[in-house]
Amino acid sequence: MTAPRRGRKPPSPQIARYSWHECRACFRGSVIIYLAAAEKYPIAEVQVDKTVKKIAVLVRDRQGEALRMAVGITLMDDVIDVYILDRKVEETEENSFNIETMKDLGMNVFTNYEGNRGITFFSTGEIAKKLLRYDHVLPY
Amino acid sequence: MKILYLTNREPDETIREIIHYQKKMIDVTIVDMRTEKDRDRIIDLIAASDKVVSW
Repeated sequence: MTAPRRGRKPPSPQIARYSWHECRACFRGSVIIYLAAAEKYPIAEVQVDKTVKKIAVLVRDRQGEALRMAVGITLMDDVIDVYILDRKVEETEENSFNIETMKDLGMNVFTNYEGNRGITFFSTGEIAKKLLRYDHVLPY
Repeated sequence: MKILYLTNREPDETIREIIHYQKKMIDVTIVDMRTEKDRDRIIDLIAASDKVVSW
């Protein structure tokens, strides 16, 4: 964090606002915080590393391991979406726990199998399009 | 965008469908690791691709 720019004293305090400045090469950036009524007088600059990856985990035949892995890789603070393909989720204690954990963590869980109740359905064609938006796709 | 798919077994119907849809939108290359013995070619394809997915 750097010191605020020196200059004329800003007007009376207003609601603080911020702007985002990003390096296109390394995705690192900084948030500049300033008073709404005095944009020329930043209060602070906070460096932010925005290298969050978007990852899709494709759950196929080994559901238990795949769901466990999907929960595990959330520790890296990336965005993890899970796609359960072709099969009904096996009703085991472990699978239920992992899917509940995903919902608690705000992860998206999708399926192309209409029998999976409570999970957002997409056709395989729609999933094919969505997969293009991820940085990494991990079939399991 | 270029995607490289590496397969270790016969693609099932879902994989084939995903590849079929994606081929309409982007450049998709599929390498069957069981039959492809030219490792230099595989490395070149990996380097030339934006994404690599191992099925």
